[in-house]
Amino acid sequence: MGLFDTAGKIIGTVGAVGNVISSNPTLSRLFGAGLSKGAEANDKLRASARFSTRNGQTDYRVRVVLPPKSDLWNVFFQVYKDTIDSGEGRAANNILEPLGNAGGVVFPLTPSIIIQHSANYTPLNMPHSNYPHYAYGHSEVPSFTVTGEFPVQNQEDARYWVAMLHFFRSVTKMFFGGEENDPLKGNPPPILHLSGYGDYVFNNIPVVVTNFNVDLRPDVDYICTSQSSRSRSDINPNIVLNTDQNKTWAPTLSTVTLQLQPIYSRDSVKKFSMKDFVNGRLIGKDERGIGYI
Amino acid sequence: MATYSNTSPYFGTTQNNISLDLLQPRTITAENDDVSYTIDRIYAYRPDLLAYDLYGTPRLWWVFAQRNPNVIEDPIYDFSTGKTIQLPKLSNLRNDLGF
Repeated sequence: MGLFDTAGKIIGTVGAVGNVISSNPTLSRLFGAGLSKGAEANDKLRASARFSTRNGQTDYRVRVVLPPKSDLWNVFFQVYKDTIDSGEGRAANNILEPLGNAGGVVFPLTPSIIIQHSANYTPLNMPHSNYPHYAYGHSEVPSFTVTGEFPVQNQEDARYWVAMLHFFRSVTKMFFGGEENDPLKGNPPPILHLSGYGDYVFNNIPVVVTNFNVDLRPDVDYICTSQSSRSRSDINPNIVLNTDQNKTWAPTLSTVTLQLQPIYSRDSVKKFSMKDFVNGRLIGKDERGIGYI
Repeated sequence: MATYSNTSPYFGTTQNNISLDLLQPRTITAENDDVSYTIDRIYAYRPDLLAYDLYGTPRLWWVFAQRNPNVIEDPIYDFSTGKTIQLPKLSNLRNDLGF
């Protein structure tokens, strides 16, 4: 009872502060801008949110990324540099640039994931028997759904949202058309790596995106952004980007739904060891860098 | 003869019979630990609103341009999104402007 009382008081206090801020437009604006009244220097220590352990080594957020050693890395994240280096004299496409550090999409909020592991048995219906025999067929990890919300609060978030949208659009398409001697022509959509929640939940799980949904709601605000807002003049002074172009609008809140199918190559399956799996050694930290689930 | 309050940028500027004389800029103390702020869309082109929220009066709309002459030339139209400025402290403004 005492615990609930204390919790209730804490919640009440936090709620009261929130009510004061939300009912006072001045405090609300200053709070949103990260300022304090009077512009006095804030001597108080600020707590910083971080998505990693204390040593900053691990990021536990759910992410869907291109494998770092993938040949497609250049196609997705360095095409604009190649364009500039080749001196083609046209503006580079840097739509995926916000994803470049991670190599893919990091869900900003914890998504909802329901994963299923199944072992399939075929019943052998013996005549004149009360109980059928079951013959093991196979095991599988069927496709599963990742549903996460994407809040957008400023233009930088909006750039990230647009990049996310374009990334998932791109990874559901095969390499088709283009240049005559393109060695990638005919390749299927890329295999991505799913990671999140640490080593023993999802760690470099090879997946393909079989479905991608995002809702553009009518009841939220939209923020304008430009994917080419940064000048490239430091790289090549001959390239001038028109910052008035490439305007895009991103919703302040949207729900992204991915249907992911774990997929393992024949070579990977051949190297699977049940003993290693049971002992927790197949978690994506061997030389192959592939996690098994 | 108009009378300018001590929160006005023209407080120290002399006047003749028909007009103001050359502008006498008012001094605002700059400190190393002045708060740095990147203007976002809430306060874009609204130095009066920022002055009201920070200092309690929109009459100090001009102090941001005065404190950041290398960033803001036009006190309103240069007060645009993405520019990083230093915000003078209210205590310094009180001492410098005497209000």
